[in-house]
Amino acid sequence: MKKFLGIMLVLVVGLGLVGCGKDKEDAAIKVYTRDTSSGTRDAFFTAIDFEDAIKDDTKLVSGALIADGNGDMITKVKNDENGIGYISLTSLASSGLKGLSFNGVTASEANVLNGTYGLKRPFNYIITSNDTTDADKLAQAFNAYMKTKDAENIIKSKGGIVEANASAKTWDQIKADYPVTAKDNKAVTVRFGGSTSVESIAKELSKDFSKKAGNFVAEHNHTGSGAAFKSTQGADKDGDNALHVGFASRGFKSNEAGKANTFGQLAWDAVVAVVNSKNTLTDVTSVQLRQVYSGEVTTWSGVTGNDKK
Amino acid sequence: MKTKRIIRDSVLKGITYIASFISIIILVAILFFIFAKGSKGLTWDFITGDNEPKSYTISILSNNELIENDKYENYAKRFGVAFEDSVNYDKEPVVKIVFVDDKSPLHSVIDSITGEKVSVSEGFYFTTFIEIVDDNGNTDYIYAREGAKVASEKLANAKKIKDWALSYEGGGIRGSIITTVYLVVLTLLIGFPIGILTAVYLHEIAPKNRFINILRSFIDMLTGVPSIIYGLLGAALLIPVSQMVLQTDSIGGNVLSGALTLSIMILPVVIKATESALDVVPKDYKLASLALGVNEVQTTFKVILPNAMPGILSAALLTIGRVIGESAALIYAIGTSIKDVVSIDGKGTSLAVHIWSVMAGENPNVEVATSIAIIILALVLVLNLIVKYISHRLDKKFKGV
Amino acid sequence: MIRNRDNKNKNIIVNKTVKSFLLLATVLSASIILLIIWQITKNGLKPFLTFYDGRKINFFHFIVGTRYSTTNYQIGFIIINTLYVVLLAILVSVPISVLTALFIAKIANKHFSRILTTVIEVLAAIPSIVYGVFGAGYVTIIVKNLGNALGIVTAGGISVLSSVLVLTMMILPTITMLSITAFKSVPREVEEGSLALGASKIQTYFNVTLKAAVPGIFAGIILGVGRALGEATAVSMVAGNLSSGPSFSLFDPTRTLTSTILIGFKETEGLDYDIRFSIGMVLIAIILLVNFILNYFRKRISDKYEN
Repeated sequence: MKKFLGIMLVLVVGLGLVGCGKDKEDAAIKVYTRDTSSGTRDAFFTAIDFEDAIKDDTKLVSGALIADGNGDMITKVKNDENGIGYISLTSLASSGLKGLSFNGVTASEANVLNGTYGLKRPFNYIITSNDTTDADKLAQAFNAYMKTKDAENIIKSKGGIVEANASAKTWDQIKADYPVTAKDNKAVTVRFGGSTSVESIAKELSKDFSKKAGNFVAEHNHTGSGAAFKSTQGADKDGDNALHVGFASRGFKSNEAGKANTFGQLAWDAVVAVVNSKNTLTDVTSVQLRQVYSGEVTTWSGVTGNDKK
Repeated sequence: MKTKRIIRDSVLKGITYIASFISIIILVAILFFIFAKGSKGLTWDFITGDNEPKSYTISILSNNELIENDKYENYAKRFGVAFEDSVNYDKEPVVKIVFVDDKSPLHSVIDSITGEKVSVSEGFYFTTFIEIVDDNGNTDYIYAREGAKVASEKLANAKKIKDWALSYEGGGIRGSIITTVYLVVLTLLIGFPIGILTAVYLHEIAPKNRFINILRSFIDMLTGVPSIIYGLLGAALLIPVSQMVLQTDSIGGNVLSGALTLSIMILPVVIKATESALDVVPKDYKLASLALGVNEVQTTFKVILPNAMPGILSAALLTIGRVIGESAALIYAIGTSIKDVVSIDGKGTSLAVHIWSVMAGENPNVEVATSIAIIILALVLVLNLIVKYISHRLDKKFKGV
Repeated sequence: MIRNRDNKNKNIIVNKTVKSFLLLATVLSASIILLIIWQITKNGLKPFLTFYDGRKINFFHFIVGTRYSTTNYQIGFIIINTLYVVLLAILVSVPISVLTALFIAKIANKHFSRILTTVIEVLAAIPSIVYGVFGAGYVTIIVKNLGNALGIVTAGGISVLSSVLVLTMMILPTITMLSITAFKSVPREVEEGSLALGASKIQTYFNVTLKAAVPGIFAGIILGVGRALGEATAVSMVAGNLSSGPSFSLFDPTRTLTSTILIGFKETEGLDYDIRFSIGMVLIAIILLVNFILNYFRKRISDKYEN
């Protein structure tokens, strides 16, 4: 018995050390990606011409680690000096990560609006097609609220890139059309969800709108852009995952056609390739990103023009 | 020859000392860590406050005179307010107000939506923007994400603050404390009696046949089931059951489904503890009572159970301790939404699940987690102490010390 | 006379009703395990037997594969990870537990013994979420610094090593307490015999008492293994959610069966939800299997020592 345990111990320690040893020699790139329901992933792989990998993890390099959401991606790359990932521009400033310029163009609001930054995608929202409960009616009011100056201010304050719209009304000007917002809605729960990239904007919007619409309870459960249409007007709309308002960080696809006047775009956003702040890389091309994510290039020295570590 | 043996013996003895020392180090490390990180946050506001911050919307004119104050950085003289970059309870970056001068107009403002009086003071923070009108009548926006310094500088140009959404406090655990109390009470009302009755039956009344043995082995099998499995059971079976019982159309779990899941989980603990308690009661009591003509049921309920009370009380305390400490099962059986208003048909988090909720997100909040951990540890340890005391007394009573 | 008989009848009815009530409670308690098995298998088998939007999971690939994601549910590597982490935890905790138990039961004086027993009991009472917070807030930092000192980059300390350390701390009290019982129940005569033959106290403890207590210690180990395999919250907070390949290196992040069930739980319907029940099924199967194997060994060892 003792001998057996002793052998096991040696084996295990040996394996452990062997596994540990390799990290010192070559600085291998640790690739991080979002899961397949993510709109950010969709936008990223579309922009680098790697559409095969949007829905198919097997096309990615084999050691790729999956991050659970925008915030999880930030945490992971922040803790990994050899990591590379992609996040929404709105969270770049506070993330502590270094954003890479794409094909020579820096990620910024100006470059998104003038079209020179290639990794851009829309933030969209969609509401439920149901029309029975108070929560449904509040969702409809929310739809109108999204087009007001109040919403625009909030979206901009959270980093969403909004094209200037001089004709936008304020909520006060249109609220009379939505009597449900004048009631006391403390007992009503309105469910928000969808993209995690839009989550912090969505939470501020729901907080502001709640104050203006009878203090309803806003419940947020963001699981990815895939849930936006599915849970409001698609297969899940009446099930346990149903939402009243869904957010997506990509365009709606052809099989996600919402009913007229139930959806809209709230902002533009840029997707930024990010690396750890200790990484010396500053720019990356779409070709390089494709090589990294497909596994063609696996070490930092292989990312041409920049010799890391 | 002898010295070799003495050396070897001392070495062996030494390693047992070291091994025991390790356990002490672990306990000390855990307690020290939890208290060091958590005691600062354990304030009255934390325990009794809402998790949702209070939200205000104000609009105000700047002061006619500048309010001088050299003591603070990021200070806006026209409004007498100083800012600081900080994080809120969700660990998100915000701009916090660290000082409001007595002469500041912010001292008494009216909330533009509700009309109530607000006194803006230290601790208020904003996460979105301040809409200002400058001296030329132009509108501008100060964004929170630009930071405290920019905010104070831009406010220097503001003649009027047109629209400012401020938040205050938040991150309190009152809702979770209430949820935990609800769960404890419901579990004691639902699962505890079933456990006691089962133990009484098996110990006192059950005939010795194969059927009973099968039942016993089924109950024994429950002790090895991990709590996450109970969570899955709760999610699959007890959430629909509770929705039916409560006639509610809310989606997902609720406090009742959590209580039902916990009731099932504690059954093995309660049954075992009660059977131990019944074991301790001397057989003579039962025999004497039966000999006097009292029937089985009466004997059980009027003679044996009362004498087993201390042990049953221990079982109750152990149950409470288990409910307070349980996390995995409730994550599935209720969910992880923290609520300030708790009801049986609504969602909520127990203290343990609240810890999970703040640690599992994007920005783990170790301070909040350890503050709650202090509370949980204190409760669990006190309960265990009482149980030990009870069994000590029981030993004395029945073993006749 | 008649009144007496009425009372007697009433008594019998009350007696019978109460008894049936108690029997009902017992049957209810006993049926819980059946409910668990039924519900878990009902949802757990669905991914392999029905189609979700045209997708069905192949059971073989599920059990054997090395990548886990929403497009590819494969838990083969997760099973290996779980067993590996638990094995390491046992290897670390058993020596410490047994030596501590020996100290408490035989070597320490009464005062010290009482203090240490209380320490162990307190450690046993700490809920797993608190171990999880300690793990995520402290153990991971230590592992991260250790890694940096060795020149290894870790994912913020989230690693196999952190998981092993946390599990070790959690099962230490269990194995220690049962070992104490095992040591205390070694018959005095056995020890006295050895001492009479001229062996020193320490020699006796290590050569005779220890050997005699092995069956009891083994029972403690079985309990510890059960607890480690089933531990969910604490492990989820320090293990990570690596999506592929078994992780053997101590500083790599990993993923266990329980952490897979617990992390990323968002949808309440559909394939992602049901697959967690399938994982639950596998978890139960593994716990039963490991228990079976360990109990078999325990019997063999017991028999050996009965002689």
